Amino acid sequence: MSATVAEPDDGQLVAAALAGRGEAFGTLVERYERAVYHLCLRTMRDPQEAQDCAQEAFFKAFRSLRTFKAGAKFSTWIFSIAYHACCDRLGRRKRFADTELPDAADPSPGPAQLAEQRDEARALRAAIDALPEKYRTVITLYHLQGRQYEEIAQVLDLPMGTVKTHLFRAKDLLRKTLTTQ
Amino acid sequence: MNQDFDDLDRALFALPLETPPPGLRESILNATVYAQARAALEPVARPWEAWLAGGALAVAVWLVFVLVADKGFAAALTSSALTVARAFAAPATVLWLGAGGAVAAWLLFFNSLGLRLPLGGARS
Repeated sequence: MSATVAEPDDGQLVAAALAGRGEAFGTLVERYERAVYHLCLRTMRDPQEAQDCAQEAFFKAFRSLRTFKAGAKFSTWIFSIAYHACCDRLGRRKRFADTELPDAADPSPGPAQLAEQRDEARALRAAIDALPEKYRTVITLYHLQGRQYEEIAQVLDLPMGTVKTHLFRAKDLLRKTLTTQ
Repeated sequence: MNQDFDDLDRALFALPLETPPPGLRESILNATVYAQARAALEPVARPWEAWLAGGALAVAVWLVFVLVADKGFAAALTSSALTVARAFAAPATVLWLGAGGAVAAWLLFFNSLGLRLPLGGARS
């Protein structure tokens, strides 16, 4: 007979990390590293920049752990930090280089590229990457946070109505892109 | 349309998250938890700072000891300090110091205007 030990929740891990137990923050990193990297990659569309943003997000979170409100959701908080780190970089990129603008949609993939996108996941990823930044982020958070619009709104610092509108348009664009393939 | 959206939702939620690069977690921990642990283990002062502070403390203790033990030494030390102070306060010393400072300021001023006064030897 084996007794199961309950996993500590995020709030307990934050409290433990604040009490000086570094391994508690390590567990939080382990829990959210993948989701944060996913959000950064979908927002930045560049693996190296996504890695830098994810690292920056956790670093900022670690340094401002004391400002984390008890009872708040850690996922919402860390996603918000990561999203803002991405926005800072996109802004910097927009200011200093003549590369893509975050709000501009990528050109649609050509027929040759579409033929290569054999499986659904790859096609869906490509379709998400082709969305304008505001739709891309909202659909990524919808994927990460589930259908919790309020939390998506908190991460993006947008009114709930705007989030719903963006989500509807994002899905509509995705549907159109996927049905034309 | 709803059917399409439901299918899309299903596809979205079935989409696996991107796999982070192998070194990401390590680099995050290095910059956060491990950095804090390293900082906690680091000594308060570097070795040369400890030697300097120790040396200064030893000299101070020795000075206090000598001053307390030998009243004549304290008087001699005070007299020497007063002599040095008087020498620096003498009008001739002040005049020479002022002249030296003025010349240095004058040379620096003209050099900053690009007149290339001979401050650092010949330049090509």
